[in-house]
Amino acid sequence: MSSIVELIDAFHDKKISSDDYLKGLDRQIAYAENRLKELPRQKILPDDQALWQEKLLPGLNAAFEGMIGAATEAKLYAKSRDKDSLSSVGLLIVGVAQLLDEVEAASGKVSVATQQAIGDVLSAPQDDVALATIKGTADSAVTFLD
Amino acid sequence: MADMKVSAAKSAQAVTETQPQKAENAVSKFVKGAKNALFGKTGSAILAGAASGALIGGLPGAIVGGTIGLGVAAASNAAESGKKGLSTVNAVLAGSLAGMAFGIPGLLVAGAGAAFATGTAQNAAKKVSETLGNLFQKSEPTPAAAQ
Repeated sequence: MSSIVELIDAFHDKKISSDDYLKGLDRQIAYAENRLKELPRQKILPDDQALWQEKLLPGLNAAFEGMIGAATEAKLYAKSRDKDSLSSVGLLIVGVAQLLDEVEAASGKVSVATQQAIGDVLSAPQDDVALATIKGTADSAVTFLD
Repeated sequence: MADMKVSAAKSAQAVTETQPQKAENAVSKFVKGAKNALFGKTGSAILAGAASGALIGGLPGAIVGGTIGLGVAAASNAAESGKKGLSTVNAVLAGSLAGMAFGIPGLLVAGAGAAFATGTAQNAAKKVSETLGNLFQKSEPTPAAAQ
């Protein structure tokens, strides 16, 4: 799955079409939305419930919502081509990254089982892309120069 | 023999004590993957440099006392430092760098920094800001930094 920054970069440089740009961002949104749905389903051990409820769950929730917000905001660039508007995307992205850092740090205080649950939530964006493909919401591949 | 038992017990204890660290590293791997979904390799490398102070330390004075818009200068500054791949994403990274320089929570609040065009992004910014500020005690930008 191409990153938000890579998608913007490729679209800015006209390496991908507007359609592919928007589909790529939709994949990002689908990934985050799927993760948000998975969060409440995680089985957390009683000893870890306090930290899960206090920090880990809200931290992950906010991170995925931030991801959705950044991708949604970035979609407007397809029409406006206003680079100044991308600063707000960058701010959100860094906010999400900081949240993930905090979740990572806090995860050191919980059991291995809960850490695995966190890993499960954060992992496998490819699966979400595959799911999106099956649903017909993503029907073209996007490649990038790195 | 007794020494061996003590040694074995210490080894077992050592293994137990190192397990959380190993597990934390496993989480780190997933966090890294999630960040790659946001930045990609190029953006991650640039921002890692910024986080380490390589770029922030070189920000011009105007940036330190400026607004997010001036973050563009930070990106330009980084580009001059020879960071590849920055020129075409400088607008995104300008916001990112400004966020690192000033502190994300305050800048994400409406009126304090970024203007979001979509309600989804605005709400997300509010939630990210509040979560960082309230749950993880990430500080708001100081008056001196915001001037």
